[in-house]
Amino acid sequence: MRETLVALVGSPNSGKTTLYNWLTGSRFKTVNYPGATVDYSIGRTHERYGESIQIMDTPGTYSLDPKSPDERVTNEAIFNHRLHGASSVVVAVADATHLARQLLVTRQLIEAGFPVVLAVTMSDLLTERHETLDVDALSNELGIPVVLINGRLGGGVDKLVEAIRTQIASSASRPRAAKIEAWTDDKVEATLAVNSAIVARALLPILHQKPRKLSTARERTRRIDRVLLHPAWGLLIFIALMTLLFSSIFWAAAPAMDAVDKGFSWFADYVRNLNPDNLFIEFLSNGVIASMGAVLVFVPQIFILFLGIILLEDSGYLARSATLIDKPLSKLGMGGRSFVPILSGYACAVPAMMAARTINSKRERWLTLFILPLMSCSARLPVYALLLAFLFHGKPAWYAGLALAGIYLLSLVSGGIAALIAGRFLKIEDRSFFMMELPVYRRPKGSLVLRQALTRTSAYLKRAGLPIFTFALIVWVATTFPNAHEKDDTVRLSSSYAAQAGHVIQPVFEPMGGDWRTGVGLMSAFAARETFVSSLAVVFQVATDNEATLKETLMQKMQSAKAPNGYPLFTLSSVIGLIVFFMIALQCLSTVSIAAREGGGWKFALMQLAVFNVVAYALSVGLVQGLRAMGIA
Amino acid sequence: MRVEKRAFFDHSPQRTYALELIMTLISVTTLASIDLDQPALIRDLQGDPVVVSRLREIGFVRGEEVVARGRAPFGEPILVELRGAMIALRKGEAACVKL
Repeated sequence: MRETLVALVGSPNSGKTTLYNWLTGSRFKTVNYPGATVDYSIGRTHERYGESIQIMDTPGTYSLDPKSPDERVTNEAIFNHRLHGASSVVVAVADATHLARQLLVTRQLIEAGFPVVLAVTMSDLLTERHETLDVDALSNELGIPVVLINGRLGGGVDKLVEAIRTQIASSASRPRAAKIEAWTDDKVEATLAVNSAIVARALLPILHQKPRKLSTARERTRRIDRVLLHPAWGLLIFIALMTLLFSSIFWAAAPAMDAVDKGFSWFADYVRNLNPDNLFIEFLSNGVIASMGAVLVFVPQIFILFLGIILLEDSGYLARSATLIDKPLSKLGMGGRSFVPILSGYACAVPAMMAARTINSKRERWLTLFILPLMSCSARLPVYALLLAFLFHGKPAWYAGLALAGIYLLSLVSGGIAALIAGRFLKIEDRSFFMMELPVYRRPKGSLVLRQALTRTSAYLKRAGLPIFTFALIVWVATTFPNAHEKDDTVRLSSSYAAQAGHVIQPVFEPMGGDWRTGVGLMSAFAARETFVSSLAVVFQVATDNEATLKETLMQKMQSAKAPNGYPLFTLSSVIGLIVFFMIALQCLSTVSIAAREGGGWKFALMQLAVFNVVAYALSVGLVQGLRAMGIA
Repeated sequence: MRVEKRAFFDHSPQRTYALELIMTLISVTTLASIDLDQPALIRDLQGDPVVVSRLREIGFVRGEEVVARGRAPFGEPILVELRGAMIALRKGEAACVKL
């Protein structure tokens, strides 16, 4: 027999995900941006609520008549889930302060035949306005159990679980729910009118209490929005906030990065000195520890980026950013709902592509999915950091910082250009509309934000960790054998399997100013971009110096590296060529597979893969050759 | 001068559409054209069926009071207050809401 499944369904920003986190005890997913949940997630109720029940969180939806892909996810998940079929019980979630409007979907769920429990959230905002909800009256009018929830403190969740149990017990005797016809306009209008009347009767003022607080959340929000959505100030503050977010990736992370770098250098040295002649020890220090270190150095930066995005989400500013940027993005064929995917694209293209499900227009969604791989994702950060450190060696740190900021900005520009060009050829036409509810501002909870940022960072590490380790192993074996016992490192390397294979592919990378070693690095970058750095670290055997840190050693080795023709391998032109290549090339296989899923098939994904890699290679070769023709090595 | 005249009366589909849109905006007050901070009652919803249906589901129904509270930079989207909620709409969507 199928296990019972209880679905949470409600309008965007109704407090569904907060409730889900209370129910399951995994309290690190609250989001204050409409449409932040783009996929359903299934969990189990926490043991403090007794015998566990399977709970499903779904993307927010205004009705059971879906108008964007994320709403379609909700519809499919509750009516015919792949494993569980139709949900046994549905918890309709509605915000107490917008109850009349959000009850529409509750009504539709009842009509579809689900046993429904209504969970009214944000009771704290109601109390603040000196109002209370007559739960029994509402329950009588609607004919379903109603529970009041305080999302901030978790009050009422135990009552909700009880109500769910009662509904599950009664659901066995009822026929399963089935999809309903889309409601007619008149029906929607009439229902809204009835709902308004019901809610008006159920909402009661609290009398004889201490005077009302000076300002409610709604009034505060209005005042803040006067500034943050102001035609001039709003835009300035938006630009300032984005600049702050991206520049803090550089300056705020520097001390932590330094510590990680030093720590790993020391560790690699320590391990190597245990037995310098042992091959396995050498593999551990030169292969594993050095390449892990070369990538882990960038974790502080990635953490700060996630932290910034989460703060924007939780405070409620993200919905405002989407509104502010809607007009400029619509000039490029996209819209305000493309903003969150694009911003997430600076962390990772995979969740970014999933976030694009909230875009209702097929055309805007296609263009957004198409340009997302151009956004400078966190996996590119280690690569740029290394190449820029090389370019600006011995110069003040802000040189590289400024150049990196330039790269981030350029990736946005290239995305815009790509959207304009692709828009000319794209045949898909679809209506485009933008409607977004702006939630009240809420102070993000420090501990929740930190926990969330840590979760996302560790998810990133888990994803990146295995390819890095695997490729470090492959590259180390390939650069060490067959002459593993050769004492002279240069001879050992130049006679290795990697060198032999590299000479075959070398002609491809020569026009870019590279040789087989850059080739090995670039090939391994297709597993995950950051493995470029760790592969170079193995190829150049960086853990052989006692004094300097890993990055410093790799830098020295890169400076002295010579191409087969005797010229330096890493020059101004070849490094710029590499940067341009990394900016445009789509080298991430996880992105390709998610693009196939989200973009409607492998045709889209393979086209994207081909276009970006061909363009990246052509631009890079053109740039290197052009610079060399002008006399810049 | 003749050339200019001909250009003005050129009946390309875009021009016809644009003229129609302008005429509609002038003759009927919509949420896209009302002054800020002036409460108004919704008289009707007209336009693309999907857009209208979504507007209705969000709560834009006949008889409801709406107030345009501001505009984002570049003139769009418009910020509309509806039952205490703030909703951002592009001009196109706001023009579907007749007052």
